[in-house]
Amino acid sequence: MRRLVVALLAVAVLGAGLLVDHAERAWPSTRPFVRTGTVGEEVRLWPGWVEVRGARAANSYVDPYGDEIPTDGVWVAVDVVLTGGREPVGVAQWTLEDAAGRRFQASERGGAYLMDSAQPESPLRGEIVFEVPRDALGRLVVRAGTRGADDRLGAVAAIDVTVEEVSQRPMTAEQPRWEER
Amino acid sequence: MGDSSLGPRPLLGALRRRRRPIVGAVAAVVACTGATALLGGFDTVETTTMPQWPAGEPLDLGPAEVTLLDHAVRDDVLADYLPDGAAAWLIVRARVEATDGETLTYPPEVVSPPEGAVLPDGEDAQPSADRVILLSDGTARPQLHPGLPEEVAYLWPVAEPGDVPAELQVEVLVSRLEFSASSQDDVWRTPQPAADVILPRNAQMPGTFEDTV
Repeated sequence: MRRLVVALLAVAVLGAGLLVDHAERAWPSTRPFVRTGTVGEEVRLWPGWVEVRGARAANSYVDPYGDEIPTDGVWVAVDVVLTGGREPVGVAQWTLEDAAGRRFQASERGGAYLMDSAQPESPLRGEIVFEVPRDALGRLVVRAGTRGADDRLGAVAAIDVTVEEVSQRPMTAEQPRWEER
Repeated sequence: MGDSSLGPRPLLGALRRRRRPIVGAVAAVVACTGATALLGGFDTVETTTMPQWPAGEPLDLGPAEVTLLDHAVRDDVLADYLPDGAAAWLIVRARVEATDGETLTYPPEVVSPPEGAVLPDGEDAQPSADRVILLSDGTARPQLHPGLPEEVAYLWPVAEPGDVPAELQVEVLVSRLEFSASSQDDVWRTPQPAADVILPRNAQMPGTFEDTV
């Protein structure tokens, strides 16, 4: 009888664990800490800050190796400044959200990984490159998140930016560089 | 007088105690078998044939729409990357579009070639693609952005090019994107066959592929 009780308790504990795990993902009780802002505004991305200085679009993009990368859409380069706070800030994911709610991750061909962290008092400025369909242009939201796919309890900075003009000239993104404070 | 514990009553008790685990085990087996039967575990399974899907027609695979186009067997592209024992690449060309409103890095398990056509990976006669390449510029493991369908090449090493039939029947696989707590990221899991597609042979891949790989 005692063994049966122990077995039932073990099953109950495992079942409850699976249920809680599923419930937390299906009906999350936690969410990211989102701060919003506009172009030219330093937005808190704990423990640091992020600022969008502007954005531009072009029909073609020349990568850091000098190769022109084709696309059926357009390339959008977002000029950002990332600054650490009391400690370094890390960005796990840069995304661009269009008015329809579609989320585009930064293109791996644009060197976004070079803008993934910044030290205190050392602003890092560079352009993050996105590849989007032409109909995504207009009002966009740049999102920087300190966590990846699961951003719950992470910090997110969501900054509005508008991009409408598309340059016919091939675009080269500004590579990250340290900026004077 | 001898040992009183060997009397008839204590002996019966000892036998009963010894039987308890056996009775418990038998009861557990009976209970499990009964539960399996009640849940339909012993029902006769109807054999179903995989639906045939035409090449060139888009197939909705959940977070992506996949259109299998054609295939080629080539020994003049990426030849330096052929593994030992391989003489050529089987290249399956597909158009893939992310339809879930988010950028995807689509898994290599989208197409499964028939057994015997490609070089096995250990015991696996139908391994996932060795390489996944964006046809437009040769990018490996490409990102797929919503609203921007891309042509993608899936590559498997082939030991003998003659083993690949001109009309190649492949399985289309559908996977689920699930969050992995261990890697703290979304991962593709449990690829399952969804349809059979017969792919025609295409001797040439698009020009950009010829130039970029």
